[in-house]
Amino acid sequence: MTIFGAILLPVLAIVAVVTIRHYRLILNRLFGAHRQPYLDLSTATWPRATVFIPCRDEKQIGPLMVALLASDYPEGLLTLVPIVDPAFPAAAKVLDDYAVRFPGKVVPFHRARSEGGRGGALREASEHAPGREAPVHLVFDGAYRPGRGLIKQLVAPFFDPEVGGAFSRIVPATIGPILLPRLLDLAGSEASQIGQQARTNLDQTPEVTAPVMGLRRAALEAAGGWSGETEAETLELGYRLAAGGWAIAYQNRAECHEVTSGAWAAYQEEAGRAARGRIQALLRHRGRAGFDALLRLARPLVAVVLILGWLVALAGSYAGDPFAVVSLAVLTIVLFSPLGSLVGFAATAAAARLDGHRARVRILPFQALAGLASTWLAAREALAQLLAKRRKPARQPTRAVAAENRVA
Amino acid sequence: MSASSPATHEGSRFESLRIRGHQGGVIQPHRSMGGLPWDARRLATVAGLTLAAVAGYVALLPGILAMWRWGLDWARGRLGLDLMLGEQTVLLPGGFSLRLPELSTITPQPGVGALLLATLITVAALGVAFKLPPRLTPLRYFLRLLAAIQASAILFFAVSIDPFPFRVSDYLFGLMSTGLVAMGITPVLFGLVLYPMDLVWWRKALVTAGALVHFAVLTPMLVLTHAGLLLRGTAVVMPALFLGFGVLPFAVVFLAFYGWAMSWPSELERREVSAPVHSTR
Repeated sequence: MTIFGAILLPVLAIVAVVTIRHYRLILNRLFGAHRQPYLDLSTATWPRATVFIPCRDEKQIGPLMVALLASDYPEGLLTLVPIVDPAFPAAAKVLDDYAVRFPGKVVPFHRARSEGGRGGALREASEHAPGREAPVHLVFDGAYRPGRGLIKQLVAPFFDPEVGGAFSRIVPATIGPILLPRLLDLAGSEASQIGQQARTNLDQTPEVTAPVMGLRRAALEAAGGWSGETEAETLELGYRLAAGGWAIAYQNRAECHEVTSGAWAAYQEEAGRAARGRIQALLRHRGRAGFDALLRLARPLVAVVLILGWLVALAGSYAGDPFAVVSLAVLTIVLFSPLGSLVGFAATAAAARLDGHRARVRILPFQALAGLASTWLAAREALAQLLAKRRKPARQPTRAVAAENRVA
Repeated sequence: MSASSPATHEGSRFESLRIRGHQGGVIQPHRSMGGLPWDARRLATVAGLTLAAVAGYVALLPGILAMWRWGLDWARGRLGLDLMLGEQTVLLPGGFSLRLPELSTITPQPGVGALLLATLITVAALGVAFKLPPRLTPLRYFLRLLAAIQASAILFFAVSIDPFPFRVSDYLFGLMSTGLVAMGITPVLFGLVLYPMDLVWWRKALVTAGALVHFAVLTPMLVLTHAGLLLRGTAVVMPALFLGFGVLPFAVVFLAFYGWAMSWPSELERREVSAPVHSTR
């Protein structure tokens, strides 16, 4: 075997492992027995719950507050605690106005200084804000629009004493004719319908990737609370809860809408943050997490391996190595595939069909182009995170993102 | 009680009515719960269609190759391409062999002028990639990748003392083989990701035939296009051609057919039956 073969075989083996595992998830979701516990619980002795809302954008906070105030959760048992950042006085003004209009129900928590990003804000609020003593904490970021019954759906799993965290499916609120929201919609379908639900069916720990979740306060405290030192605070907290023996309940039936900008710059910022957050969680949990969890956390590193393998295959091709030429062809296709899996497209298409959105699958070839961008982004950010000694959470959007968001 | 007794008939009618909703439409389970039915018939369909498609492809292979041979012979003169048409025998496992058409020509090596022109075009493509608006971000990344591949080829021809390991004849033969492999694995891939889906069997057969016919027409045209570009652009464009426009078109065409088939109505919809909810635990 040539040196190129010796390097490329493990890379192709990784692709094979990722692909087979992904294919298993597809088959499980389509044909396997589903676990959908805690469904349709509408009458119960509901516990007190506090919703923590980290938000800086005064335009986002209004619709979220309206949606939360319209919740069917029993009156008097729900407290809304918007976390007011001192750097965003316009949002503070809007929230104070809500506090006057809904006394006792909306209780803004004014932070003295903004440190530690969203995780830092949640840590501070969950330890010091009024309503912190409620047995159930909920989190909603500003970009999300919960439906009327979502709070109950998120609280219902906590009647099971083993459940420490619960989260819902995220669905884009609007999908226009623009390509990116459509691609993100497909990717979201795949992540929820195939990834999260199949993992739930297989008794694997689902991943809390969006800042919409419910927490048992006792579990949160036992796990050490929110962390302000990671850029994917819900993901990292989910792994800490799981390490502490708490179950994480994924509610595929519970849907929360998300407002997306539809701008690539915003997507790149978000994807980069997610990749860095995964690496941070990987570095923190590498000794404790199981094989499945490690493989999921190392997804950005798989992108690095793919690109390095592709470069080796290219060099091998110039050297006239036939195995390198074949590997180069295969790895080129994998570079364009979502998640470094050769069946990523199949998962996307199957999820869209399950969602009843058959026609949306026709843009599947365009997902290949976006796949290349995602692979490159994930690899770049993973390397940057590994090379950086310590990176503080970057919650502030860059000027370019802010400008493009305004345009969008 | 016999299967056609009035009570059974009533029960079946009741079952078909109880899933009806507004204006007689079928009430489907919530999208989070719906699955697909799996039974021995479906497994047999998956296996049968895969085997039939592979067998059909193998049976038609001599005809496809004859068509390619004729098409290449017809087109090379009309396109003014300096190509000789021959045949190469490929030995297959099990003692089988295949006679593939082969286009041969002298591999044009890039001179200094060609390398400079390639460098200029690469830099221009890179410039375009950086200047494209953010909404075309995926295209930006694709152009950057192409520019990186092309830059590696320019670097090879500029500094390497070893000869370029690929001849145009080998490249064209490899591209044709890629087409054959793509056609061969299409039924197998469909067997893994399309045939288990809830589509009526003839639709699955139809889309497989469509994809295979598309590949059968695309491959010789792609070979001729690449031959023309290589003869004019020299071997320096070979890596970018192979990776950007040789391998990927096959993958994208496959995805297009697959995506199209996956957008068709399901068999459950056609029969007006609600999707099964697999037992919860």
